[in-house]
Amino acid sequence: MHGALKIEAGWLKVEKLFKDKYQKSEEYACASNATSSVLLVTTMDETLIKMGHSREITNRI
Amino acid sequence: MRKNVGISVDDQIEVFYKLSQKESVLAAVLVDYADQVKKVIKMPFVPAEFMQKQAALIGETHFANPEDEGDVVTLYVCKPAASFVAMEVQKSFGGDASLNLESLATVVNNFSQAGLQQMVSANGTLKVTLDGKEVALKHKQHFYVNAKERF
Repeated sequence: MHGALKIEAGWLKVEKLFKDKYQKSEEYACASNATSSVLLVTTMDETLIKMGHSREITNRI
Repeated sequence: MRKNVGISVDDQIEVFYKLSQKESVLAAVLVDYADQVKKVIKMPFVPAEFMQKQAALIGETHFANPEDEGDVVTLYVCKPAASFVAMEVQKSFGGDASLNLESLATVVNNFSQAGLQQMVSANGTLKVTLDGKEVALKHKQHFYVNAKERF
């Protein structure tokens, strides 16, 4: 109920959205729906670069 | 590379790496992640300075840092070979100028891996005769059956 109004099933659609700060950022990638939200940090730091090279070396073998 | 040269994941190999630059991004990668690479490939992953001259090379490949083409690591895939501890051999037999480590390694590597393993399991010492001279090599002091055992 919302006041005198009874909300019936199927009337409402709940959506979760990340703030623009994250959606428009080049540092993050994000996606969400009603039940799940995922935020990835997409900037590469030294550790990630090294890990990537390590995987490439492994794949060469 | 294993697929290209017809090696399966279970085949015993030894992988050696050589860096084009001593101080580089790839050098740092190998300092931090060589153990991880070894863990993933489940085979020895060792600097090329430990590669035996007698090692049978199966294949060779390389990886270049995309940010710096001069920064390259070359990978050598070899069949398992007896691994000599040159310093220990030198220490024990160094006084004998007629003893040639390379020839010694060649003689020892003439044994099959299984044969070598069997011999060292029996008494821990491998006696070889080189140029008429008998040399007693101690297992895990002067040599290891292969890189997997050593590293």
